[in-house]
Amino acid sequence: MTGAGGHPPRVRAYQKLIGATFMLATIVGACLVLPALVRWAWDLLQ
Amino acid sequence: MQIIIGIILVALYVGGVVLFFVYVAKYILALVAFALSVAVVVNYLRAVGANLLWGEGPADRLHWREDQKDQESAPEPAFRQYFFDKAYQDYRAIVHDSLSSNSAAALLAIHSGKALLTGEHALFTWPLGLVLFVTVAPAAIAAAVVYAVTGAAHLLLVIVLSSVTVVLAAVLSLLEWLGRKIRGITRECPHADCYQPYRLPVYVCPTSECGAHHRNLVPGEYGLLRRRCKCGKDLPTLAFFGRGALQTLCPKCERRVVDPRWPSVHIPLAGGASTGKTGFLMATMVELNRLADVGRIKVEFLDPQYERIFARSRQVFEQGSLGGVTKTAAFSPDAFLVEVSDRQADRALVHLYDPAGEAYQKSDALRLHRYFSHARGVILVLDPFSIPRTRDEYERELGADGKALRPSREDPQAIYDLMIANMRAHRGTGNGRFKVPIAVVLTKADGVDLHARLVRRVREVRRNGARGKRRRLREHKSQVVRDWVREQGLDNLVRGIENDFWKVRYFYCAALKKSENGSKGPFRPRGVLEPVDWILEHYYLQVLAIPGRRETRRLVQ
Repeated sequence: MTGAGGHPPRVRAYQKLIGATFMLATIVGACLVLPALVRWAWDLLQ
Repeated sequence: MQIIIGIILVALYVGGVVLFFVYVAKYILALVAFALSVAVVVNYLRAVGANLLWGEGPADRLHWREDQKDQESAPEPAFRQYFFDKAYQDYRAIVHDSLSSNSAAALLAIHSGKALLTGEHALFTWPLGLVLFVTVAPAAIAAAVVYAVTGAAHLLLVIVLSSVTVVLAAVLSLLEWLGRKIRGITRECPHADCYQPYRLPVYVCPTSECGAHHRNLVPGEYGLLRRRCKCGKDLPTLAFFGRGALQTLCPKCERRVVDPRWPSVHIPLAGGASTGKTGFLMATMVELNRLADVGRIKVEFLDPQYERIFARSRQVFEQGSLGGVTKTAAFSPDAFLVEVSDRQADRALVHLYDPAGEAYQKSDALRLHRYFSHARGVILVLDPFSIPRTRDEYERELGADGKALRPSREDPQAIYDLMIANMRAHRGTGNGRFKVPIAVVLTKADGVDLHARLVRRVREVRRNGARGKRRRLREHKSQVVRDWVREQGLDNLVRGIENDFWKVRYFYCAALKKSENGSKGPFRPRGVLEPVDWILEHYYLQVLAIPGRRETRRLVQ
């Protein structure tokens, strides 16, 4: 059983699992890291 | 005045440039580095989305090739499980796509810097252009670090999930292996000239135009619970999910085999030519089926060929004539397979081997009978009329009815010696005693008054001794047959058997016994199931068991 692109549903499920996990982790990570990074850079430049 | 204005403008210009480099440039540098780093992350996420979420990434690929050698280590005709191949292809595609976008962003920065340095307003914008050029290098380093961290995090995620898959595959394989080990399920080829044990059969893809051979259909790199065949068909990787329903082949000889779901019990029939092995085998099958008909056990033929053989046997027994049955021609026979299930739902896949008696005349011919290496029991078929003393005793009856009885001309001792030498050679047991049981079966006992004499003796023994349970009756029968065989001068044979095997029991049977209607009625076999039942008891299966009188036995390995 394959999807429209030729991959079976479970391959798509794995792809979406990795894609969504990675995106979420990156966005959460950026939200956590960026303010601290910006503050550090700002302090450095002053 | 104009000069003063010019000097002031130049001073302002130089001052502005200096102020720009002293106070503003560092913020622009930080801003560009930040923007490039964010662009890197955004580009990476866009590539992830394009390849994994709203796109499907590169096409899956097969490692199998049409012209490859068909062996266990070769790639299977299936697509690898996502985390064993395509996840890394997707990763490469994402890294490649995001790198292209990052290069485009870097080029945009360079072009912008160039335009600021060389354009119409270059006089006013050159400091910005210069800062951009100076900034691109450290900003690119910062972006590269962010890119590497993002890529590494992605790769780490893929590796972690792949590792989880590997562990799950190993656990599932281990569980299935343990299940087979605990239940004593083994796999051996039942076919002539092969008889080899194997780890896994070759599973054939059920798609008619495909029919690909899968040599290692277990949880692993091609799938955890299912794998995708090269034709796109999903195949289960575990027996629990129906793998046993696929057609299976022996990996050694490529002939069709049954994938056992229950312990395999291999029982060779040993005996010279015309000792009545085939009659005994046919009678056993007919009697097993008769018990199944009355609901005492369940019998299942896992392959149509065995069902056809059984149907032929039943027809012969109903007709009461062996007219159409030819003697066994195969020196090295295929096993007759039947799945038997008793009242307690214990099951076994019983393999019965009926080689031509001539195979027991030459050790060379018998050497091919490798099934002795995994035999779980032996039935030694003994024609009483092959014993010289019995033949002499019944000379008159044999003269009159000799054609019907077809006494075997082969020396039982010689047959046994060949069999035991072959068994020792295949099992490598030296001179030790075998743990597998051996049933010594006296056939053709109904041909003369021998059957009646043995029955009388058993009654006498039971009259004189304590009447016991069914098991005691069998022991009495065994004792009577043993004594009778010794009386006929086969003392050495009895001693030899009892020295070679720990578990020996003697039986008599009448495989082709006619019903009371005389010679025209169907065959009504007597005592043929007892030897098979006794052997199967050692493997938790009791085909003749009476409900409520079950006895647990240790599994003989």
